[in-house]
Formats: sequence, C-alpha cells, structure tokens
Amino acid sequence: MRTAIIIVITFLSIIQSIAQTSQNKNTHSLKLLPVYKGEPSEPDSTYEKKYHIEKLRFYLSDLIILNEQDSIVYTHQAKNILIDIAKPESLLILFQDSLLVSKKYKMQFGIGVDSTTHARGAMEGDLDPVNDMYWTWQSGYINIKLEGNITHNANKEQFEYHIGGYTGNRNAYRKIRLPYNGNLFIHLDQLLSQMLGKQQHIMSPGKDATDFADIFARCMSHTF
Amino acid sequence: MAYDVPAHFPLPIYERELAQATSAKIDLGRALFYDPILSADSTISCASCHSPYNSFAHTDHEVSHGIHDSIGTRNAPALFNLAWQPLLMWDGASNHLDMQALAPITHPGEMAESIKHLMVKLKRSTIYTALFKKAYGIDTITSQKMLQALTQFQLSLISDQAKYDKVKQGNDTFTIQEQAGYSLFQAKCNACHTEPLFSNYAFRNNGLSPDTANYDLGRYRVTKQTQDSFLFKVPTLRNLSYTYPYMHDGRFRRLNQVLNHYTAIDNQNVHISHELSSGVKLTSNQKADLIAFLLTLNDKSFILNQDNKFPRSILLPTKENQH
Ligand code: HEC
Ligand code: HEC
Repeated sequence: MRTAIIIVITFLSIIQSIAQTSQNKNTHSLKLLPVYKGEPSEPDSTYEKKYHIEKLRFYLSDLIILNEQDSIVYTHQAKNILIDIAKPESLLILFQDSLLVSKKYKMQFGIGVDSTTHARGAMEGDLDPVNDMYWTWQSGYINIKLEGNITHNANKEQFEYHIGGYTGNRNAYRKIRLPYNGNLFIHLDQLLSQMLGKQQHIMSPGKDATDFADIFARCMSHTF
Repeated sequence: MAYDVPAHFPLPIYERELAQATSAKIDLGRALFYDPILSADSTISCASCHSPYNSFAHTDHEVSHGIHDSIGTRNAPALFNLAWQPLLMWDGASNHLDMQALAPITHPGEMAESIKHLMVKLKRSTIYTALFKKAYGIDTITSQKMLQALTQFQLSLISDQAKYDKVKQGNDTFTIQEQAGYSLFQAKCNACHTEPLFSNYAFRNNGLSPDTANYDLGRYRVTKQTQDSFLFKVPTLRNLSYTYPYMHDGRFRRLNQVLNHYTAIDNQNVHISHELSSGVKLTSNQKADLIAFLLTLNDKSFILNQDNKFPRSILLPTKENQH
C-alpha cells in the first residue's frame, strides 16, 4: 500500500515535470501580424482593390513581460526595434532568454521613441538616421511612417503619415499593455477606416499626430 | 584633453561629451566640418557658412547661401560655447548638437546630401577610414560616430579669452567708459543676454518688426503655440565684431543700428517680451559707453586659434608631403 502510494506520487511528479518542461521551458517570442479584416496581410498589397499600403514602419520600444502581480519577468534587450512590414524578419521578435510564462501574463511596450531617448544625441542600429526615421529639419524620431494610395476610378490619391513628437502634449509615444500570448495583431482595416477621408497627410508633430498615435495604439490587439 | 571650465562660467550641459573628448575625435570632427564631401556636389562645407574668421558665423550675406547659390531664410549664427546651449537654431528646432548636423547636410538648399549616400562616400575614403579608426577604434564608419565627431569639434570651440573674461579673472581692468557701459548693460540687457555667456538661451522677442521677406514666425514654427510667435533664441553678444550682420535675418550691419533699434522700440508691439516692455532709454554718450563694453566681449585669440582652422595636414596630406 505504502509503496503503491509512493509509486503513484513519483509517477504524478514525473508527469508534472514533463508537462512543465514542455509548457514553460520555451524560448518565447512576439509575432507581429498585420491583418486586414482578419486576413493576413502581405507586404505591398492592395485591399478591397482600392487601398494600397506602400510603407508601414514603426518603432516598438521597451518591451517587457509582466506576471499576475505586475512584476517584470522579462525585459527585452533591444530597447527600440524598427518594425517594417516589408521586412518579414522584423515581424518576429525573439526573446533573448527563456522564461516561464502563464496565461495570465501581460506584455507592455511603447510605440515610438520615448522623450528621454530623444535627447540622447546620435544613436546606432535601429535608431540610426540612415533608416529614414528621423526628421532633419527639426529634431525628432518619426515613430510611425504609413504611406500609400487610394484608387478612385482611374485616379490615385496619396496618403502619407509621418507621426512623431516627443515634448509636452505633442508627445506621440504610446504605451500599450495587452495580455501576452505571443501574438500582436495590427488591424490595418481599422487604421485605414479611421484615418482615410479625414486626414490624409500628417507630416509634423501636433494634435493630428497624437490623434493618429491614439488610433494606431487601439488598432493593436493580442487576438483577431 | 579635459577642458577647464573658467571659474566664472557655469557647468556645461555637454559635460559628458566634453569628458569623452580626445584630440583624435576633435581632428576627425574638424576634418568633416571643413570638408565639402558632406554636400551632394562637393562644393559646400559647414565652413562655407560658418567661417573661423567670423567666429564661425557668415558675414557676406544677411541670410545664408547654400548649394547652387540657393538662399536660405536665416542668418548663420556664430558657433562657439555650444556646450552651454540647451537648444539650437534661432527657433530651437534642434535639441542636440549631434542631430543638428543632419539639418544642413540633408537640406536641399544647403548641402543637399542624404545621410545614406554620405556614409557610402566616407567609407570609400581612405583618409576617413583611418581617421575613424584612430578616433573611435572602428573599422566600419557609422553615422553615429560621424555626428559625434562633428559635435566634438564644435564643442571644442570655446571662447573665454575676451577682455571681459580677463577682468573677471582679475587679470585686467575695464576703462572708465567700459565700466560705465557694463553698468548700463547690466541694467538694460543682462536679463536676456545673461553673463557670462551673454544669453539666457530663452526664446524672446526684442521688438523687431517681422521680417518682410520671410515673415519668420520663429519659435512658433517648432511649438505651434501662438504665444511663441516671433520669438527667437537670444543670441550671445560675444565676438560681435566678427559676426555681423545681426539678428535672425541679418537686418543690421552695425552695432549702433542695433542700439538705435532698442531705443526706438515701439512698446505697443504686442509680441515684445516683458524685459523690454518699458523700452530702453540711452543718450548718445551712453550708447558709446555700451558699445565700448560690448567690444570687450571680442575674443581675438579665439579667431586666431589655428587649431580651429582648415586642417590642411589632415585633409590634404599628399600636398603637405610635397612641400
Ligand atoms: C548654407 C549655409 C549653411 C551650411 C552649409 C551649414 N550651416 Fe549651420 N547654420 C546655418 C544657418 C542659416 C543656421 C541657423 C538656422 C536656423 O536657425 O534655422 C545654422 C545653424 C547652425 C547651428 C546652431 C547654432 C546655434 O547657435 O543655434 C549649428 C551648431 C550649425 N549650424 C552647425 C553646422 C554644421 C556642423 C554644418 C555642416 C554639417 C553646418 N552648420 C552647415 C547655415 C549653414
Ligand atoms: C527681451 C530680451 C532682450 C533684451 C532685454 C535685450 N535683447 Fe538683444 N536680443 C534679444 C533677442 C531675442 C535677439 C535676437 C532677435 C532676432 O534676431 O529676432 C537679440 C539680438 C541682439 C543682438 C544681435 C546679436 C546677433 O548676433 O545677431 C544684439 C547686438 C543685441 N541683441 C544687443 C542687445 C543690447 C545691447 C541690449 C540692451 C540694450 C539688449 N540686446 C537687450 C533679446 C533681448
């Protein structure tokens, strides 16, 4: 009887440890998934035979994972990551260390470059001005660049959004916190439907840019 | 390499960068500053608009001239004591010396070059490959190091040897006229042109009527706040004998024109900053005294300093060897 209990307990703990390793000892990642009405979006594609996105680039910054108690369990090393939907490799952020993850964990990140980083002078890597994400006539990173056109009958109408600004109420950096499941969907249909027709050119910091930043942040989710 | 801040100067904002200065970094920055390789057709260097003989301002033109003789809208400011400046440009559009250089390099009317293409040109150059290696120990030239080197050279431009400085350090004395001018200065000008750098680096309106050519809105262009309309960064008053013409649009060529402007200020001007709201009254004798004081802010040793000039031995090494 006693040995039977011991065997059962050992057996259970073996199962448990197997389950644990397979479930948790993973290298995790964050996969960015641009979607249009739920359909995965390919780079340089036209939606509804009308909307053509030529360029979507933005900075994803200060990525952390938080547990149920809101303590940080993971901090991504690269502070500012340049996401470019034309570069599939930029859409998968591999975490540098493996960690234990539960369903209740959350992820937090910023869209854009925060104001402290803005004041640091010349940077390299993803923040290098050769990436064309820095304004030159005035100091400041471009947090989000969205460019494309709309076809009306035979005519093409451009839209162009260069979103930035880092001071006071013109600060366009947005912090986002969502449940963490490894996915981050970017709902392009929601973004376009809220922007096009209203404001099709935003090229400098200000109210239009911060409004865009708010909308862009709301178009991100961990589910479809 | 550490720079000794004179006792009568405040601590510089770019303290960290000054602490990292080496002569190899400054040499590299100096080469870049004088090299027209930074412009698209290799005709314009930073020094084309910022000449060492003019305390790194530009005196031929009211507003700057760039590539293909295109004309800018503002007067090129003198470059020195930049380590103390929180924001750059007449409207404060630039928040860091590193990033400031991107503006002239890429401006279609100034140097009209792309950073990407400039990096390709620099990487092809054996001179620069060696200079970057020596300064930063790197084999691959980056835009970050290029911008930081330009910063290092510009931070090394320190003007602190004027007669005023010698008086402050107890090594010289003002004449009676200069002393009288100094008292007037402290009463009427120091609120904005604050000693010892002769600027508080704030954005102010000194009563100028908007320039008719460009109707420049100044600080408003950056902040889009109506209260910032027609405000410009208070410029330093050091080295004025070398930096004419004066004001953001270069409208005055002589100091007595400037003083006549201040004494003729229209206090009905709604944009004028509060420091000047009750106007400036000066007799002609007082004007002469004030100018005598302003001339004690000229630093001839800064203008003559060979270390700041075209680096012939670095940029033209082969010619040098032929001598
Ligand atoms: C075509 C003429 C021109 C060229 C070339 C030029 N500048 Fe300037 N520079 C100007 C003008 C004009 C301003 C003032 C602009 C403004 O306030 O909007 C200025 C402003 C500056 C300032 C700000 C100074 C202050 O007190 O706010 C710095 C620093 C500077 N330039 C450095 C450089 C460097 C470094 C280069 C070369 C990479 C360069 N400039 C090339 C004309 C020029
Ligand atoms: C309200 C602050 C204020 C006061 C007080 C003031 N100034 Fe100015 N000063 C400025 C500003 C701002 C500018 C630049 C204006 C522009 O270009 O639009 C300037 C420009 C100048 C210039 C031109 C410098 C250059 O390099 O272009 C001189 C010279 C000058 N002031 C001298 C004086 C004198 C002398 C007094 C005292 C009689 C004085 N200022 C008082 C704010 C002030």
